[in-house]
Amino acid sequence: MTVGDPFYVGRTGLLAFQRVLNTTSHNITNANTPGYSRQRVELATRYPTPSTQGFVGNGVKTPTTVRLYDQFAAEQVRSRESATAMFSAFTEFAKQVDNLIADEDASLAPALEDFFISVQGVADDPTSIPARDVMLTQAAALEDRFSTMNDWLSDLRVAANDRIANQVTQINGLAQSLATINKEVIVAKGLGGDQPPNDLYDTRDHVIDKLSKLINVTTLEQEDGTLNIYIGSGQSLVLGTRSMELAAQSDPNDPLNFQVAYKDSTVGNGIFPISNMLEGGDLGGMLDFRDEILIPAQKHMGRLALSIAITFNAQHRLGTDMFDNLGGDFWVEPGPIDAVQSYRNVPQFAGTLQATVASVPDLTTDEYQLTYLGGGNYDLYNLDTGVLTNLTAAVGPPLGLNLSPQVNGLQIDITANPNAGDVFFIRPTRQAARDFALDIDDPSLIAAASPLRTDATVTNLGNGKISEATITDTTDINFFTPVTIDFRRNPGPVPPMGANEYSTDGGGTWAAYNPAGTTVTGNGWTVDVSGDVWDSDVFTVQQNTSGVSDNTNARALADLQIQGTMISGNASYHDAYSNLVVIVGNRTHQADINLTAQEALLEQALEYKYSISGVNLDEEAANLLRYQQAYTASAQVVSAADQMFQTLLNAIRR
Amino acid sequence: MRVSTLNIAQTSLSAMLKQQAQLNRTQLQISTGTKLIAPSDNPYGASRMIDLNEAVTIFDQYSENANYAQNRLSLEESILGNVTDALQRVRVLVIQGNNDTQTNESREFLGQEVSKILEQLMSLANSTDAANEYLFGGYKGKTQPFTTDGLGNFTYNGDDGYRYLKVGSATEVAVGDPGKEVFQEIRRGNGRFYSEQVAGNTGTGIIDTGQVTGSYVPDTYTITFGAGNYTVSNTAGVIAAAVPYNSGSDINSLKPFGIQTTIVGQPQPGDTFQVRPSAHKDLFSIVYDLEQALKTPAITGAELTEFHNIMGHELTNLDQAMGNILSYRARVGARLNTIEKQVNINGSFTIEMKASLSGIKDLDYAQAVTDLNLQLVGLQAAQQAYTKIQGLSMFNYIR
Repeated sequence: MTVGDPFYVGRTGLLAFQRVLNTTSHNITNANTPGYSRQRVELATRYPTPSTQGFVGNGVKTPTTVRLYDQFAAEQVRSRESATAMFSAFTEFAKQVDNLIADEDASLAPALEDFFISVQGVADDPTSIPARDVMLTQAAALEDRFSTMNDWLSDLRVAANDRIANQVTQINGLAQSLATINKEVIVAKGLGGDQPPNDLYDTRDHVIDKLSKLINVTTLEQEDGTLNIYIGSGQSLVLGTRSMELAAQSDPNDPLNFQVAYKDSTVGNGIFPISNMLEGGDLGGMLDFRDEILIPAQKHMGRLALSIAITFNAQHRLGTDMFDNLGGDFWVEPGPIDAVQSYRNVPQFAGTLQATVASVPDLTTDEYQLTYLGGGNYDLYNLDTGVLTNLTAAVGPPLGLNLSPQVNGLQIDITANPNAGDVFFIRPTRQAARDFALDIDDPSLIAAASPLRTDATVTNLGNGKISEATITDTTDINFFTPVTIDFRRNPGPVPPMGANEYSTDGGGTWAAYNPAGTTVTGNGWTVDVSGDVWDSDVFTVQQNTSGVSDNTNARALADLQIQGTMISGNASYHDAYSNLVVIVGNRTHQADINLTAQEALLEQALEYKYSISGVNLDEEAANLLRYQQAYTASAQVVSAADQMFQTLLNAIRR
Repeated sequence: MRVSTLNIAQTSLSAMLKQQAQLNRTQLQISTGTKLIAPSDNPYGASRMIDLNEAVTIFDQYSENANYAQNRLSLEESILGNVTDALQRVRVLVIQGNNDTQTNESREFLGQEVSKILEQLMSLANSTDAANEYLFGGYKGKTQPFTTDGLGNFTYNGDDGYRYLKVGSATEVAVGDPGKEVFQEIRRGNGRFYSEQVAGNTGTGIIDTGQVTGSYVPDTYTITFGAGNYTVSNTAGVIAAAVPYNSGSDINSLKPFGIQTTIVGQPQPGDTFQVRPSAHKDLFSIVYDLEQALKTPAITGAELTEFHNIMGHELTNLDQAMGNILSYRARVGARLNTIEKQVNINGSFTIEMKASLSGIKDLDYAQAVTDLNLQLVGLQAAQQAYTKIQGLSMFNYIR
């Protein structure tokens, strides 16, 4: 090759612009390919030939083809995609709870209202069997509403579990293809003499984009061109050409919920849970939904069910039914809640560990982790508030050992001390809504009346009044024993005056009487006597037989609707429910706002990324024209060189 | 900044989708008439709605209760009205019978009528409501409250129970009164003490009902006559001995004990009168005793004196009974009044709460329809812009 050969120079132009036109066509045809980054052929002058008359140009060359790609922009997009997918999945599920929980017909609130209306109906007309029937029907409707709402939340839990499992499968698939692509990148770089395999990079980036919609992703480029992929808060998913496999499986410590874990038989019991380290993306959204909406909703519903059953039953037992028997359980009385022991307890504890609700106002929706420290000492860790309480065991019924003190209204009992280090989980309210059920089916058994009645003897000379009996303990063995309250003036003046002493045991012992009001305590009851009682006046307290018109207890039951029975005595049943509505509503509202914000941010990030990597067809059209011209010009150079050569040949032939 | 072709399409597409979502929401609001579709639209509002709905149903229930209470109390009031009328008639008959112009025979007729009225009074006291529940039985609504053995013994089978209904958040009213208090617990005499001649007096002395002067000291006071004088004693002993007797003058020795009473006529030596603290006597026994007195022939002077004594004292007791019935009628009236006031209060509460509820929940249609129109225009504009921009391409000009 001689110096400054126009043939040669023209040919470099033809080849270069052919390549450029090829790349422009590649850009045009891939304008709508997802994940495609536009490419550009780099043009450079060939190394000039040195001569004594200076360097002679050798035409154009194309050292490489680059893709226009900005790592920062790509990471921005991924993090926005992750956040958007998370809020989107969260709101998709949360809105279902949100819509139902305050529905004016289908939610719990109207069923609760209807039930208490029916209780008032019985208070209005306690002798009416139809009114009592209505109360039982409405009670059954309330039971049904609790179970419907709980079933429906359980269905959502199953749907959330399915979705978590499905996403984990997708993540595994994507991880495998990323490992494969990494392998291909190494091969391609070898084949291409270290030139960048642009389209392969795009494919890989596109897979990572997809992954980012499922879970938070971070990448780290290695020297050989492979990418290490980390998910969540830094858990490795792909290291070079090796991918980890995740599994979604039932959490052994909380069997109804799925957890995400590494499938790796070399770690622990073959399970290495990472659920609480995962965030972002569809998967993160589902985990958040479960922890922040679903479980709290079930716990609140459960606490409400527990509280209604316990407080209503307690009041119902203080009354008497149409057969003059003491009221039984109106609802099925909630039993002790069994703890779940950790699968890590080796050997597994063979005894029983139970929590019983001892105080409804103190009951919270919190859940606990109990660890045995040894020596009769336990640590109770509140999983919701993080408060740690030290409990000590003392011998006592019903199981064998009582752990004290009570925490948040819960009494914990265990059959015997377990092995030191054993861990138990106590979830008092989670499943309580499921177990809420009506216990009686005979309307006559509704205890609308007070079990005792108080009478002033008609021969009384004074104007003293006796109040209705306040029932404190119906289990007192002498509860129904009639009691006569005798009054006397002591010392007896002449003539007799107002009484100043009373006796409940026929004159055996006397106690002082104050006409402003004196509380007389009997066998599981108290009454107030007040006013001007005279010597020899008598009051009686006895079983309220045939007291079918008495609505005392029905009124007390109806009053439970507006009483602060829950949350430190500050909230009625309705208040507690509306509390749940606020929690769900607020959280959904917040996620909704975040979703809108993230969508806008995602749009901006995409716009920025596309402004670098996206194909603009007008631009490519202009390039097409420009490089066509350049190609034509190079061809003209060859043609001119040919003419020069012909001119020379013609000159010689002559 | 350069813009990619794909991005242009996507951006305008997502803008259109957003407009459509807003439009859909406005449409849903208009078709349901509420601006609060889920709690997340307004979490505090949603919880307020639950509270207000509950309060509205509670106040509705109070009104139901009030209605029920009004029915029962109106029934009770009309029954007590009938009782008053019947007692009024007894009073007329008794005054007529107490007149010396009556013969034993004519008194017998009057006694017959009183006897009929007694039956009527019994049936009034045993009245039931529409649900066959006894009104005056206390808690024992299915047990007949008053029974008699026909020999002047009247038994109350009910109890002291009061049934209350809640008609307002802090207002409970009793929807009945136990028969014991209405018909049985009637204080004899003047309400504090009663005076009577001890059976077997032979003179014509008649002691009047008397009244309380100053501070009454309850005790049993006995006035025993000698020849032209009398001795007053109480349980502790003699207060005043051999006080000269003048027909129609006050028994002054009893005044320090708060008792003012008079004896008229000519008591014989050995005749005894007593002043005791008022015990209860039931309405039926009072009427029965009057009936028996009217029906018992009185011929001798002593018999007539005893007759007048009984008639006089039982007439006082009858007035006590009427007073008692009247005071219960007044109580029932007061309860009805309370209920009416409370119903009005409940009504205005309900209206206020429904107004708050509407403020939280109900849609402002004018606003919503305006929004709908604006959103429609916006969506149309976005659609038109999209088609225009999509038509632009340089490739159109390369030939």
